[in-house]
Amino acid sequence: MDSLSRREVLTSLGAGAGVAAITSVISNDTNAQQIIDSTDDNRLFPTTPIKAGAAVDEPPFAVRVFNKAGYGPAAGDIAAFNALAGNDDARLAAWANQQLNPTTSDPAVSSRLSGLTLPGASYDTINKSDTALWTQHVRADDFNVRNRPREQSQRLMMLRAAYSQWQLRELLADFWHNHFNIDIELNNETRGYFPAWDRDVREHMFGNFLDMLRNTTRNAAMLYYLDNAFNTWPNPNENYAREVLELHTLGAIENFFGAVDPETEVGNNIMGQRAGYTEIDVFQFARALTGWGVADGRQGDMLDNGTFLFRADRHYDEHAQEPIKVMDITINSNGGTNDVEQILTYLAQHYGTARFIAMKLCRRLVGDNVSEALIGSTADEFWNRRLDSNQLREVYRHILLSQEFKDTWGDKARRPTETLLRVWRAVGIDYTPKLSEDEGENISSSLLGRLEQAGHRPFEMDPPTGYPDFKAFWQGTGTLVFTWRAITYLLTRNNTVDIGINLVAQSNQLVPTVAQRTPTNVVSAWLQKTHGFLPETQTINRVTLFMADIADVGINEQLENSMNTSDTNNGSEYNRVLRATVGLIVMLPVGQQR
Amino acid sequence: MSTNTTKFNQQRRNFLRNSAIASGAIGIGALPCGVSFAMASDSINKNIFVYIFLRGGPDWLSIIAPKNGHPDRGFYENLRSNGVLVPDANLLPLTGGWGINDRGAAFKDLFDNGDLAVIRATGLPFVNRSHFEAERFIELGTPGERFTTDGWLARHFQSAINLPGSMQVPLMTAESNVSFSLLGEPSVLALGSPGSFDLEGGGSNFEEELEVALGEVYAQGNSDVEVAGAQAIESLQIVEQVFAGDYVPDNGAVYPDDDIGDELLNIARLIKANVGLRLAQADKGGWDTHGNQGNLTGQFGGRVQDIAEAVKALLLDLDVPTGEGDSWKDRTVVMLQGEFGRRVFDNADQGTDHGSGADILIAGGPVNGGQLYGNFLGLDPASLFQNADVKTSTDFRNVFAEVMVRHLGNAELGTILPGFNIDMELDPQLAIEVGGYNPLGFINGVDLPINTGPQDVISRISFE
Repeated sequence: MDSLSRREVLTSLGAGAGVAAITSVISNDTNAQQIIDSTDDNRLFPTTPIKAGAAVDEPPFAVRVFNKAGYGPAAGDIAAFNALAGNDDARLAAWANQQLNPTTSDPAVSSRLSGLTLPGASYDTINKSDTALWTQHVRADDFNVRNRPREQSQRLMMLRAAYSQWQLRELLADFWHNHFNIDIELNNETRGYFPAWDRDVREHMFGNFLDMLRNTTRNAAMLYYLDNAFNTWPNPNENYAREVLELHTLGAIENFFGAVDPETEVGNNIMGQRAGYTEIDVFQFARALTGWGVADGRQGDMLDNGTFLFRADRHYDEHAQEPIKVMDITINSNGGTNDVEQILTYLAQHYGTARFIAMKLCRRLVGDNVSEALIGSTADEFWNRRLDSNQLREVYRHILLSQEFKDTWGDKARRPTETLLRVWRAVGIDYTPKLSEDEGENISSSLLGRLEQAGHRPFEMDPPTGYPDFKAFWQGTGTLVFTWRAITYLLTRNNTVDIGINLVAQSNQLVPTVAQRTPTNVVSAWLQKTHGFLPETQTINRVTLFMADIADVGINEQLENSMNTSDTNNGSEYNRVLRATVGLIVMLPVGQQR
Repeated sequence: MSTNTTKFNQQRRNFLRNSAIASGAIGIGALPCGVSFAMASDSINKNIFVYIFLRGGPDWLSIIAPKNGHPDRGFYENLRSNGVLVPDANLLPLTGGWGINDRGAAFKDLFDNGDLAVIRATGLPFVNRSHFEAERFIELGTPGERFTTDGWLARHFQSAINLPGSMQVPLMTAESNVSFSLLGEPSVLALGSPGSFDLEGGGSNFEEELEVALGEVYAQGNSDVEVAGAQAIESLQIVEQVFAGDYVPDNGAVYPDDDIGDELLNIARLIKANVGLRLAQADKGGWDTHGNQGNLTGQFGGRVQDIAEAVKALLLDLDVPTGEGDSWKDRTVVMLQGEFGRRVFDNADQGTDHGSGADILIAGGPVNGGQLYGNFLGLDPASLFQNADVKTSTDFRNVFAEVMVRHLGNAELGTILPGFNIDMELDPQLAIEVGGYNPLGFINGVDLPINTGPQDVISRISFE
């Protein structure tokens, strides 16, 4: 060991920890102090955004952009971003413009899909027609056949997030999948029909919200997930009507008035619309949704192909003359689908929906404590463009180009799947998740199992709320341990048959000269590669000491003195040292934030 | 309340942090004593609270229903015209003409044994039939407050003055994520899968060294993620020891072979390992039965049996000496609660939609069991809420408060349940007669002077 002994480093760490603990008594007050005074209804959100610098460590601008608007930078991303223009603002504008206009071309993903030739390994269900998914999978006798679209959809989510050049699109697809949540493993319809659902969610993701909403209301997976396939007069099933109001459009946070009289106790919003909905509106909407279902052969004379089917004889107007009244809409039914269409149009173009969607998008892209000002201006953008075919694209652009997006960092905890995929991209893991693998161990199944233990397996949030999107929920011990477990699992499988990332070869590209391969240099190179910057000295020292310790050399001593650093075999000592060192680096606290 | 409470939160957080740094290698059974705030041992509350949330909102009228001869039986059968009811023959008698679904026979055993109490017609102080909102309002303990960021159990833990300054695993959830009731307390052990609560790799990949280094890196700072990370590493070592080897429950207890059975078994192991566990939380989902409810032979009946047998097994398993003159069961109270009750009438899909007034089950050694508490106003149309729900007559916070005060010895209700006081506005549509703490007596414990205002931190610190 030279320059700094282990004991000296530990001593300085101890002193540092003491100082940190004392100062944080003051600095943490603002984080914990978020109980809002109920008597002050205008203060729905904290008004001061968390500025960059309040978090553990603050990466450079480009790194922040890729972490907040995607799954983190992969090799080459930062350089490409910085080459787009002469300053950060112009670079972000140019990058956002590319990402907001994705094309169907995505070679990094499509080449991996087409490269899968082993029997059972290919993603053979994801491009099947809606009807084929229904008849061949939802209605299959064999559970594995019914379940195959689920298995492939979950792997496709990881594959796209890891390799797609359209990082913003993938992040937003995840957002909308959580917004219009379906628990994929609930029933045969959700398992077997999911690729059709994914297409419906994505079709209008950069278009108009009403079109997107209409898609979701006619998809069999949703109609089965929230029970509307069974909603019939005269005893309506209210589940779907409630969730469309509460979760998909107006939201329960600001616009739900509860069990009160809508005519006398609700009033109007600033746009002159009824300010929100009540229990009575939920029931009225459920009435309108009676008969709104799926061609599922429930009555012997009907098709069983999973397409949307309106059953006029199960619709309320066959039995009642009383008009439907949902908020400002009064409908004298003509017995067709137009009852629901009118209500959906009204809801999609309601200012309360604009506020709710704006709040959720801002929280996703900026931070948990995003300012009321940005939410308000985003809601106005949503509202002003409510008739535009590119409404959502411009809403996203509004957020991405806001000063608050540019200035903030670390006000979100990365959720387990996001942490795993950040590491996947940062380390440059070369692995196509597949159902069937040669080696007897299914790596993608193991990864999904660990994500499930961490509470974040893709598309498997049971309640219709989707996975929560705020820090405190994801900062428990179990979440962290099982996320780390997924990461360490992935790294211990490096350089095997299925995961083609050779840490030794890659490390030696970063530090080519044998004599330069010291813990100090190697750690510094990997920190830069996987985080895009160097964190505080104390952290660097601790990681360097760790590597020196397990490699049994001094922190500035050649690793070659202790082992052959050119041995790229999976079982080589240097590979084992690098697995652990890179593991520690990618699991640092800064990697848990975005 | 925020500023003062926050400082104290920080103080307890530092207790935990100091203990993590000072203790190093941790042995089971000995609390690390690295802090100077030692308290007299007789002032320390050792009671345990297990909070089971029945996510989705169970149809309580299919768990506890009027038997033949009860004045509500006729209304009940009329309201459940699509068949979502429990026939008299399937109702095991409790008391007062009420019976319990025979799939929950284990609850009947506990009730007859004096280990189970039922609190009728509880709920929010206003009607809200949204899962999303009702769950948050209840688990965060702040009905009507939409932006509370910590749960009632977290606030209890952070304001309790009768807990040791340093504890190994004071809080756990049997779920993968932090539950709402514990939200805001990053030291919670989230133990969804204790059998694989470990890093990958084994010795050849320097797993032990990696754990130590990670623990130190996360111990450098005091942000939430760093506290959680440091606690996670410490927990790895404790869990590894507690959950090593096979486990044979005491007294021949048999946990049902399902999620809630496994979760309560894990909680029992952690309790008996004597690592300072005080609060444990578990979920049992699947109660949102809008269609094909299945009261007797279907999904609903199965779930009732699961929770009843799991709770019975837990209490039997805990009925062994602590080594301090009492049993673990003597220290343990279990509460089962969902976010709301369901409509009194069923729908055409043989299911039930969201309602309001709901029962709460309380089980354990310190429970004055074998009784129904609270006010069930009846199922005749005039007694219902808007002709649709069981009318709420007990604010759920009153139940929480009794557990806090009489069982956990924490009377800081202004901090734990802000806004819950005698001056609160009562919804005239409901049947809640008294605001504020009004013990029903289901817990056998002593009442304390209640503080409905902010916690007095200055005197707290000088006390210590």
